[in-house]
Amino acid sequence: MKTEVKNKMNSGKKVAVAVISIVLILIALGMAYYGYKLDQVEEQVFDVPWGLDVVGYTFFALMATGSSIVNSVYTIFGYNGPNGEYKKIIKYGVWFSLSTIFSAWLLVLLGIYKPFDFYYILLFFRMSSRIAWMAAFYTFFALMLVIELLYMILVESWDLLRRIKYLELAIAILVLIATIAVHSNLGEVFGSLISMPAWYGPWLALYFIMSAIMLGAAGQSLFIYVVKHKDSNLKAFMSRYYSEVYLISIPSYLMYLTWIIISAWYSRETVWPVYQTLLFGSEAVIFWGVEMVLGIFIPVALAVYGYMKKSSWAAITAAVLLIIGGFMSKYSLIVLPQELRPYVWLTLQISSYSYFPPTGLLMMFIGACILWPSLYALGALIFPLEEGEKPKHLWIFK
Amino acid sequence: MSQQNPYQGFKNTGECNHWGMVIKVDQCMGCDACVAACTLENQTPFWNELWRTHVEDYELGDYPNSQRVFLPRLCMQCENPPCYYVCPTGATQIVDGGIVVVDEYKCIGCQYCVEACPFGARYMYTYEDIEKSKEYYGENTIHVVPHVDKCTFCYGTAPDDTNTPACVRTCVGGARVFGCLDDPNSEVSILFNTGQAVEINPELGVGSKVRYIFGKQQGRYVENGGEE
Repeated sequence: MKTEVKNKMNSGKKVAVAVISIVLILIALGMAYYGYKLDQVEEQVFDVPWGLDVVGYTFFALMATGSSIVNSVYTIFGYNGPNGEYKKIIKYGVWFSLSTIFSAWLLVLLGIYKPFDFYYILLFFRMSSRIAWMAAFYTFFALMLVIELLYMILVESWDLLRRIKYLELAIAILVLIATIAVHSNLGEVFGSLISMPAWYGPWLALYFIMSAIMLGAAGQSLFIYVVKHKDSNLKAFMSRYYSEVYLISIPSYLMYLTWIIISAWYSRETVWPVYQTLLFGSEAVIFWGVEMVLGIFIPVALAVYGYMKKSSWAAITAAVLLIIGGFMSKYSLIVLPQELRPYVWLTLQISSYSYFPPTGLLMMFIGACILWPSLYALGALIFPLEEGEKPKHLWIFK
Repeated sequence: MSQQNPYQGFKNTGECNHWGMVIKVDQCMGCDACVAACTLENQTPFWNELWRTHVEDYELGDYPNSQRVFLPRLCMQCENPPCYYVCPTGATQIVDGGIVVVDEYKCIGCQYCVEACPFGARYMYTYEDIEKSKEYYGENTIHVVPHVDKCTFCYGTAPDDTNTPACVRTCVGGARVFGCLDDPNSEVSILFNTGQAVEINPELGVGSKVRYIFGKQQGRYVENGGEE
């Protein structure tokens, strides 16, 4: 049975949502900039150079790139859903990836001490620097997403594009390559530091990919539900599909995390104190309560229920919990090794700093969190993201 | 960019390509004169207790086999510096004499080098520090833009042709020896080449050009205080 339910909003409502989105975007940018200025005059947290700004950046970047991997199920592997439902949400999925990366950029840009000198990275590019490559790969990633979205919009009205064989697949493959490159390099940003044993090694890239799939699926499902909440058939498909993604990605992530913890146990002197604190120490409540129970076990149960019963509320709740748990796991991964940093001088010393984000960084992070849905909502209003929807204004707009 | 790298054009390191330092731990009495000299020479943000060099005070072992050790710490001027490789803008540079410096104008403050340094030898010099510096040093303030700061063996500021860092010039116990590692007859070369001066954490593979002599123990602290 095919029911066509269109989310027809009257134009007054659309204008209201657009105005609210624009106002929120401005508030988000203003708030983040104010937070940055505040951070400049606040007492610096010298002991933990990479704080909430880097945590937030990693969180949003993983969500954006993870969403791209989830999109590739349709764009590369050709899964359409039982009744071609995937076609109805794919453009929203691509736009989700693109809009989310802006929050990551906002945080990483304002997180550096002199953000207006950011272009020095491109001007004086040092090949051996992972951060320099991060800038290059993110530019490539965003560029490919823009091309993919433009293709999906333009192909509805330009027959010429449809006639070029394999163009869509070629673009999708390039997006996936960019995604994997970004993850691998992000893993090495942390993993190449011999000074930080808890990060050191090649394992972080894989950890980020697994974590990104969970976060990306959760993020895009949540936002697409909001847009498509009136289409019951699509909601049933999404509940089943995203629950399936959770049920594949969560156990893989959990297995990998267990391996990380076991291998940390074998490097007892330098890395184990971090995981000891996480598992049994002062961070145990956050790890077991938020990251494991709320962020893993309950979502698994909800995903099983959502898959069996095609339950929207179960899938949505699982998505929210995965996002919360995913954020906290990034917080633990990035902040805790800096708090418990080992130095070997006369004897092995483990630092014991206590980090709480300063007000400026909190404001920057809240700004990025406000920007995230606002930008998505604005894009959903101005771009023709529905299945078969043709652009009417300036080639790409509704 | 009209601003210039403050380290360019100094070329004060003579013909030497590899300057090095040896710290004789037993001769350090913990007077902190080196810290004071460095602070004045390089205007380090002492108001935040951040230093290019500082002296750590250890009490090792249990009575009666306890031992007090003063351990001067500074940038190890690595041959293979992790901070250099991670810097995305090329602000961290290896200049003549093999000395690792930071171009303050190129530094964007991402603090990747702070994370990368295994010796904790780097810190952020903030806008607040610049204002404080102006209060203390007036028009003689040398740091005018925020950047990541570190020991440079007083590159460009050592007087005359000595090339000798302030901490070495001021050390009353003669605990710090500075010289050219290319000259086989220099004291640092002899201490390096005879194995008397040992590298801290050689497993990191960074090739420190600052090494330590631990006196009787000829190495790390030993449990019985080195007594037979």
